[in-house]
Amino acid sequence: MKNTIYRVVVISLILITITLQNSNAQGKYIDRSGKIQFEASEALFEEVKASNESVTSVLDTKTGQIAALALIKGFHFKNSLMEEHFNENYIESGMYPKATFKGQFSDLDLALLDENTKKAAMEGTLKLHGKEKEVRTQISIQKVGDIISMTGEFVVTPGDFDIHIPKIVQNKIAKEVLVKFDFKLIKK
Amino acid sequence: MNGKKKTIGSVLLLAVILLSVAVYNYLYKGHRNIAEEEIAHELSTKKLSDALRIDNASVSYIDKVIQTNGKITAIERNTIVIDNSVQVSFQGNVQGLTMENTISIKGRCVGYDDLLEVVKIDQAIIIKNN
Repeated sequence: MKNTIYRVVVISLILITITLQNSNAQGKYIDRSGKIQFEASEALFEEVKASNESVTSVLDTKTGQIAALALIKGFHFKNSLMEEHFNENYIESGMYPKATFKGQFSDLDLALLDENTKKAAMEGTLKLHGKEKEVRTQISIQKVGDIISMTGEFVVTPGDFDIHIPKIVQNKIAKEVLVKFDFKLIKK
Repeated sequence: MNGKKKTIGSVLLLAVILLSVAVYNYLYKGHRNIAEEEIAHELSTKKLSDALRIDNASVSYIDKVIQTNGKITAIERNTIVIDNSVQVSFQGNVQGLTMENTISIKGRCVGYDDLLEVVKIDQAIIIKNN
C-alpha cells in the first residue's frame, strides 16, 4: 500500500515537473527593435535602399505563429529627398502608416530549437499600401538562452501592392525589391 | 564688344553654377535634425497613446517633434519604453538610464504599433533624466 502511494506521488511529481518545463519553454518572444532593409537599386544609378531598425515582431512558440509590424515612417534612406518621395508618392505613408506580416512556420518544431542554426519554411501574408500578398520564404532560426534569432529575405514587386513607379524614374528603380529581415526575439 | 561678350559669358557661367548648386541642394538636401527642431507638441504619454490608438494615421502627431515624460518601464540597448505606452529610440548611445526613473524626452513620432500597443518615437534626445 505504502509502495503504491509512494509511486503515485513520484509519478505525479514527474508529470508536474514535465508540465512546468513545457509551459516554461513555450510562450511569447518579442523583438521591439528588429531590422528590415529593402533594396531596389539598379546598377549605375543611385542606390535605392532603406532600413528600419525599430520593427516589432512577436513569436508565439505555442502556436508557431509570427506577427511583425513596421511603421513606414521608420524607414530611413541615405537620400532625404528619396525618403520624402517614397513616403509621399509611392507608399503613401500618410494614408497607410504601417506594413504588417502575419504567418507561421509550416514544418518546424519550435520546442527543438537550439544553438544550431536551422532552416525553416515560413509563409504568411504581407500587407502594405492597403494590399495583401502571400509570401513564402526560407528563414534561418536559432535559439541561444532566452533569445530566438531569425533572419531571412524575400522578393516582392511594387506592382504586388499597387504601387506605381512613374516612367521618368522607372529605369532607376529595380523591378524587384529585395527585403531582408533580422529579428532577435526575447522571451517575455 | 569683346568686353561685353566677356560680361555676358561671366553672367551665364555664374547662372549655371548657381542653378547647379540649387539643383544639387534640392536633390541632396540634408536630413531633418530632430534635436534642433522646435517641439510641435508637449503632452503626457497617456494623451499621446490615446490619440494615436484612436487615429493610427493622425497627421497632428505623426512625423512631428514631440516632447513627453514618464517612468521608464523597459530598457533594451538603445531603446526604452516609458509608462508601458511609448517606445523611444535614442540617437546614438545613451547612458545613465535606470528602470522606474522619471525621464523627459524629445523625438520624432513615427506612429502607432498596434501589436505591442505602443507609440513609437525615434531620433530622440534626453531632456531631463533623474
